[in-house]
Amino acid sequence: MRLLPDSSCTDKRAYRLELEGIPVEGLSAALADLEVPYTLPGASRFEVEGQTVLLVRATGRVAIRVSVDVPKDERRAAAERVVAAIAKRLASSLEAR
Amino acid sequence: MNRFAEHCHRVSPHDLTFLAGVPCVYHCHHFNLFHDQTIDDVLGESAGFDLRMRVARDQFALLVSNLADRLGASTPAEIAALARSVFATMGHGNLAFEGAGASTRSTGEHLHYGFAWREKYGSRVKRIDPMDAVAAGMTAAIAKLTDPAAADYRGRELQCIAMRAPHCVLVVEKDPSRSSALTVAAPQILPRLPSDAVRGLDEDTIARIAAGLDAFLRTVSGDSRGLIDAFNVLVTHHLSGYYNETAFQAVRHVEAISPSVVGACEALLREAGHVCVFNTFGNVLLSPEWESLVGPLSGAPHDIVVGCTAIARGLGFGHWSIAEHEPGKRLVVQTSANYEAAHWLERFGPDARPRTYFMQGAVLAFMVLSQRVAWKERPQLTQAFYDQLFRGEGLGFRVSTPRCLTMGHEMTEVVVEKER
Repeated sequence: MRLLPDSSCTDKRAYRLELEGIPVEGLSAALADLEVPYTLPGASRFEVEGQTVLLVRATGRVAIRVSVDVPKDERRAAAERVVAAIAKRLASSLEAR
Repeated sequence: MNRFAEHCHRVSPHDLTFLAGVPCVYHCHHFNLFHDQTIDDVLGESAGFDLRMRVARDQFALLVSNLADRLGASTPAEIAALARSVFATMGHGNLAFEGAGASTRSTGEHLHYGFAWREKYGSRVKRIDPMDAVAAGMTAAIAKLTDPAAADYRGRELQCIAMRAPHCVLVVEKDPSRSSALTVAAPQILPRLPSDAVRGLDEDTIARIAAGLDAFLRTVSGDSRGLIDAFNVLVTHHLSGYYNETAFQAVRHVEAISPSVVGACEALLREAGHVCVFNTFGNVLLSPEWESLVGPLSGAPHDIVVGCTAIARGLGFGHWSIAEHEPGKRLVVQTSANYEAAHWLERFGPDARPRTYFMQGAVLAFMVLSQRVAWKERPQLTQAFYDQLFRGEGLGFRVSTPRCLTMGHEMTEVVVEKER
């Protein structure tokens, strides 16, 4: 997986997680217990390590949105913690199979 | 969930939106900060804050009063609780009230304007003036609504997080000015609306996207902090009379006392349209929310213009329609009713000049974004990129408004053409 900055107005809050071959369904299953209700059709929302993860199911786009309450110079690290948590869950999910 | 969703009304076919009968639109923090700074640049910091506070006061007093009537809130405690709830739901932050009438004060956490300013500029600039005229106005509104004599008050911000205070503190004092309320609402606007709206290219596509955006926005409201974090920006569901009355009073003030700088003032008000389209529309187009609703961006200029037109409708700016589009050469956008014109006509009547400044700037920005942004490369919408697009060596396009609702015409028509 690869973490890239997403469109942003210099606030370093928006990131894109390139799944690099990981199936969307696998990600969704690994994060299932972290899903929160979301009214946007075609998208799922998760709370991971205190940050928001949005998954666009049709395209596989994974967006990480760091909270505005996280100081600017700590936002990248916050996004990286989300990625680490996702990676750990995916690994656990694979082991369980 | 948005507990006030049932009080949100979209007027079809004009895509004008109202909350409890008070006109409202969605704007992001970048536009909000730019708009307020423009007012202060034109009028001076103190007069600018005062105007913004008074206009916010009158708008929110009307909103809270209307909601109180609908929801049966009558005691000071009920009115204050209602005000706090709707303020947060609209994305303006958490504003807790104490006292009533002349003793009203409030404490603000995550107030949209102060918080957004600190977020955007706080690490680089030390601010010496408070930011939250809107919250000061809301506090003054609650003071009046909870005063048995319904006296007028002015709000003042004693502490502001933009000035590095731990939270915002706002108080009120009697307002001796006795100015009449500066509001234009549904009873004034609706009778003026034509029965039909002008239509243009790609109507079905634009309508479908706008409907999807509207449906999503109806479910969106302030989080536990009273902030709306969507499309990678901080969004407010704001009272359009706030933007209109402050902008129009600022330009009329300049016309009265310093006519030589009217052009500069109007240019700033048009630039607010650029700022909104670049930041709000741009971030919407690049957002996962858009990708979920519409799909990945094609980057084709006409698709960008279609998308922007749909966003304008979805945010409640009016039923903007594409009359003509020759990519890179000519773009004509028309509307039979928009949120600026309705306010101007009610307050000041038809005028010799077009007054829909925001729409002029926004449509010009549609052309710039459709021609000069490599959307498929997922650009970073930074200030540097904005400056490159809009403040470089000439835009390369010129904008005109040959027809305008504020001039008594049947539509506003904004024409953007490539400069020769």
